[in-house]
Amino acid sequence: MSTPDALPSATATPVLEISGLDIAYRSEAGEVRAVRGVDLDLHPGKIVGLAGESGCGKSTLAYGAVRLLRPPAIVTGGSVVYRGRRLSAGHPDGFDVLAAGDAELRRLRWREIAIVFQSAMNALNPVLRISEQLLDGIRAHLEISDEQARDRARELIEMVGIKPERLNAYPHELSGGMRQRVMIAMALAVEPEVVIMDEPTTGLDVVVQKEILRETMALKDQLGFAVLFITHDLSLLLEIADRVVVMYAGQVVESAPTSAVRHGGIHPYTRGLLGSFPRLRGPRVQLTGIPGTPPDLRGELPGCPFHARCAFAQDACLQIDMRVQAVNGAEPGQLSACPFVAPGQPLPEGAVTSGSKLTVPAEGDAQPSGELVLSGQGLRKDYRGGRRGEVVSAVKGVDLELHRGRVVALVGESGSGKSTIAKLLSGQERLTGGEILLDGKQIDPSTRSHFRAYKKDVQMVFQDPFASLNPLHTVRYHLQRALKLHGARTGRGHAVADVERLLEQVSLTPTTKFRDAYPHELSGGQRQRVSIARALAAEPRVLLADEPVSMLDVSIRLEILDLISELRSRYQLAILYITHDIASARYFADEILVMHHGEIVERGPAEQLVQNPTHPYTQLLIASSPDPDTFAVQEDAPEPGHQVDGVGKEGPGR
Amino acid sequence: MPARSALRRFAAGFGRLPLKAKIGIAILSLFILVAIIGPAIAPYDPFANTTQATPGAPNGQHLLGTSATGGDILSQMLVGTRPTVILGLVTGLVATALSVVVGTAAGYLGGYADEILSLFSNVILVLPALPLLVVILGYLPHTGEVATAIVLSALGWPWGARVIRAQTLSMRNRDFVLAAREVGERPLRIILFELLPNQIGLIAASFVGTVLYAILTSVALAFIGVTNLNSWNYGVILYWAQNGSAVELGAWWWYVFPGLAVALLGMSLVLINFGLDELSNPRLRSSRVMNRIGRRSWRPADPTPVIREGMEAAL
Repeated sequence: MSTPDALPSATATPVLEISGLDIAYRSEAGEVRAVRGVDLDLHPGKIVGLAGESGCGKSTLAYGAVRLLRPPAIVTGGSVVYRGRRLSAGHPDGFDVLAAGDAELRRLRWREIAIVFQSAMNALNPVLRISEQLLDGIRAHLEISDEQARDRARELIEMVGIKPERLNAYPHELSGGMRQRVMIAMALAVEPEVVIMDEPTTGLDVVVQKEILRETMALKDQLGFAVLFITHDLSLLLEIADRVVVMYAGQVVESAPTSAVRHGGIHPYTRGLLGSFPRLRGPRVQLTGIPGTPPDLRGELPGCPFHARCAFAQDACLQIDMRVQAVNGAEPGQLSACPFVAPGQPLPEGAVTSGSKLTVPAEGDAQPSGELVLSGQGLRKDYRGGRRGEVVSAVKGVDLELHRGRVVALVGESGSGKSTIAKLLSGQERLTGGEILLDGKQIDPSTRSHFRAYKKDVQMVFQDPFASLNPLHTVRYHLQRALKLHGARTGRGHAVADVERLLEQVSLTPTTKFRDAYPHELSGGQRQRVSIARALAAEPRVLLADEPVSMLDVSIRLEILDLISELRSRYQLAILYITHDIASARYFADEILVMHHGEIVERGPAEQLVQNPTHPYTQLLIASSPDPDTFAVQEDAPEPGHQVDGVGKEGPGR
Repeated sequence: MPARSALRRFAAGFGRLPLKAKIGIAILSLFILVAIIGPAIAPYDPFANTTQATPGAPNGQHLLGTSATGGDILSQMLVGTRPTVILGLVTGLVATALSVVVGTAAGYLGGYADEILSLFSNVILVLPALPLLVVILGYLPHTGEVATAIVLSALGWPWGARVIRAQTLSMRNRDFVLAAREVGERPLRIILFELLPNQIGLIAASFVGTVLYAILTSVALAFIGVTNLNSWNYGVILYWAQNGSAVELGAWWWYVFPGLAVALLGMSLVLINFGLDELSNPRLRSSRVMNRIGRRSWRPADPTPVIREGMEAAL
């Protein structure tokens, strides 16, 4: 895939050269300096990966460089020069993007620099056929006959692996993966020299993601365009990028050839990111995570913005000039903004305590299993739907058992029925078949008479911490209501101290700071902690966690999983952890159930299942998950994707 | 002391409102003031008749002129403001309360309850309101403000109910509502404490819209004579103007001043509605204010402005 990193030497001219770019958002509260003096070069045929947490300025940088941001965003400094073959005649010194007018920019965009947007669902017009949308763009930029344009559209759609017949489809008739392929075809329609991909696979299942990435790589090799690949998922970049650029608080903290990052980054932030990803292969290594939250981008940030969260922090950090430069002992081309930390330097003492407690348990991690609390036998859920009233089975006879003090992970892709199981077990949906047993007694939690009593034992944590708290109520209100209702059930009163106790349980300390806060004043991780505290108010024995960390930043995920893990051991909770990420299940769960098309296809102790998957679907899932460690091993391995009964290639939406 | 601080908070809240809302509230307050003190400051008895046979133009004694029978237009308007405003507010309150109850019930309960309530409101929605009002009020024994308010309320709620139902539907499956169920909250409490507070903006807008509908309809009804002509409101003045051939006689003051009052009152309500809209949707506000960067304003489709240090003045 990647040639041994042919590093951009001084002689090779980049096709897009961004230097010292400053972008700010103006607001009444002051200027938010989202991008601060960023340098970035794109070379033909190379993929530059831009990684960082949400709010680090990576998307702002990309859109600002082609001047697609709307006011109140303004470019306040720096330069962006494009040197394309087709524009070289008119612009011998390169095309100055920041000086260009509206009409000139129209020629530049799409024709020279194309963008693949994150959400293919929203970027395609739902009332136009795919062919019409493709043709629109082709005709706008190329002066060719209708017949030629149609041929071109057919050629493009085949290029991204979709049958030409599908050109007549509407966007809703295509699956998410196919829609994203259409977006890529549209971006490549007029053979641009630069393609900006903004989280192109976020929200897609790993199997589809893998395919799209492979196709993109092949197209890049064939057509020779440069790619700027934006993602929050650093492990993804390690698989596809030639060079990785890591941003933090609007600044580049590390820029390095991918191979160098694979061996471990230099900058503490890069290392923190790398240490946040649970690995699928090899031994279970200690995960570190990154405690804390990013700084406020209003105003000046003296020195290193990562200082407050850095394990290596020292006083001199506040004086340094944030410029990436070569560091002693680094690989060639590896640049870091931290002059103090050398490659491979071990974390200082005490850093581990702030990191994850998800350490490696002793070999043969089968913990003594506690008593059985909740079990489902032959769970079924049918939905009557569709125009012809056909019955769709979301869950087709699933058995599962939740024991005290154990975590069971339910792993599957979107549409596999895993969330439906959470709804059935929490009583939000009524069973079509099978039975739910609490302490061995059958119960139907969805009926009104059972629901409230059932809630005393079984509580749920929701996926989206931004939606699961009422924006109009304070933290105290949320917790007090839960305590009060629970108190009424047990006949025990509640006290103000109980709110404090709950907040302390989820480490929201000092409690006075969080007690009276409204949800919008909290970060995503803090909100999720409040959600968990609310669930704990009932002192449940079972906790259903439906993708509790998928909406959070990578660095925060570990903290939340750690917290749940700690609560599990402290209160002997039985936990059902529902996730699409099998790697996190490996670290977090005792047992893994793999779900596919409404059925459990494989189950077993976590470590054993990940190491020796037997079902082809599990094997595919593991092979498709991005994993930095296995890159070299994976290189030429046969892709199992196309051998498994149709799971590799997605079917059409209908 | 607490009274003063409450007053200050109120003033501060008013200060934060969008300009449109401020203007609207100011005009509406004027009308409400007139509604309260109007009858007391009216210089003449609005029913007073003289032997005069033609309408008199505005002059020193009759600031807004007189009707054909010598009635003072200003006094008629001052007295007529109260019934107009009260009718609008009462109808707005009753109709909005109905629409909130029906809308949230239909949206939250779903299923058959939703089907039935939606069918009911849709039927009322498609009834031609004005002809129906004419028929109903024409046959009611005591046509007057009370009857009008009742009938207008009964016909005016479905629009708001549909909007609130739609909003409730979209909010019912939000995680925070599901979470409240998880905690064990009862449906009524979820509706009152989780759903309704999130819809205050919508309910307020619906209320303002209904008040406007009630005022305009009552004026229209009075104008065509379907009301108690023994009490005054803007529509009744217009009715007499029409009866007295004001247009043919060139007695513009007879219909322009009451017409203007209706228009102003309506405008104040529309302005308040716009203001509420901006309040609940900050994007409407910022899109105009924030696009002025440097010395020019930027359309959304423009390329990102490039303003280097010190260049601000040059733009």
